[in-house]
Amino acid sequence: MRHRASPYFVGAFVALLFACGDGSKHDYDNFREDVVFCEDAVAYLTTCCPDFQPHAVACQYHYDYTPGGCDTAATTDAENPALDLEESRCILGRSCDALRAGGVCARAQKATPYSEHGGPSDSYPSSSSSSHSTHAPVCS
Amino acid sequence: MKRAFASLAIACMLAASGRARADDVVIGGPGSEPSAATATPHTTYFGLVSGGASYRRLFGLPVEAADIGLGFGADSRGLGLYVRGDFEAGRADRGLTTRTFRLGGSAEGIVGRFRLGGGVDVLRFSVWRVTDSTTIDELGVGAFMLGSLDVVRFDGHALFLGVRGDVDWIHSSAVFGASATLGFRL
Repeated sequence: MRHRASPYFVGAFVALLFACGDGSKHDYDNFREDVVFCEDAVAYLTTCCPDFQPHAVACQYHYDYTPGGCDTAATTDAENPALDLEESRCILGRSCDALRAGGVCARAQKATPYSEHGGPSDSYPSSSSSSHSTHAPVCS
Repeated sequence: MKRAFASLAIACMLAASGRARADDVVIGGPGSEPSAATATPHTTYFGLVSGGASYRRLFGLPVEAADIGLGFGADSRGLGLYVRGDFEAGRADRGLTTRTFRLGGSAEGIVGRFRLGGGVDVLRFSVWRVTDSTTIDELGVGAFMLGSLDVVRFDGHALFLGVRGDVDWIHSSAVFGASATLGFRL
């Protein structure tokens, strides 16, 4: 005995998929100006700053956006390089002596990625909350 | 690396000048009598080996590179058609390092010792990450113009100096570059 799905059922299922999801955006491409400058700045700091650990600094980018479903709020998760474009340009434009004397080496070593997270709140899944991670300017 | 290139160039020129003979010229230079080879149009196949230096701007960052290239093609009726492959190792002045592989083709017009033409290529561009010892890899396409001068010709071969200008499209970004090469047409 064969069962065939009703065309109405299939149509409703597809409509439900579009209604409750997709439209998500994901970007993991790191061929970007801020990432490339961050990497160049860290390479420079490695030559200028005694004992600088390049692996402790993250020059990564990613962006994830998931739209809200029928019962949940949208979520956003983004990470940007620990040294933004302005900070990287500032570092690349300074001499090694100036970087060491100005405390840039120490601040860069501790720099954490700029990140953003927005999503459902713990108390009310249908509403959203957001958080940002930042740090004091490394070089200005 | 500069010393190596200079030594290579000098060695090549010395070797070539010792063997060069005017009647070996396949395609007549300016002011020279057309040889038998040019009087009767024919196809001559060549291999290319070249090395040189290039300069690019990646998001405005200056990147200097050393490159080597191999190619294969033919000259016929004043037109040269070649398939080319290149590898380029680059470094920004603050330490960022890059690698580029190219594969493409070119067409060039031949007038005496001079050649002028252009071509297209596909490329794989990599940026080395000092932060996690991985690479950012992108595929791209490029277009270029090139010109060259046969400095020395011998036994149907040539030592040439070339210049090339590139524009590459890598993930919606345009990367401009220029290079100078010393090469053999074998």
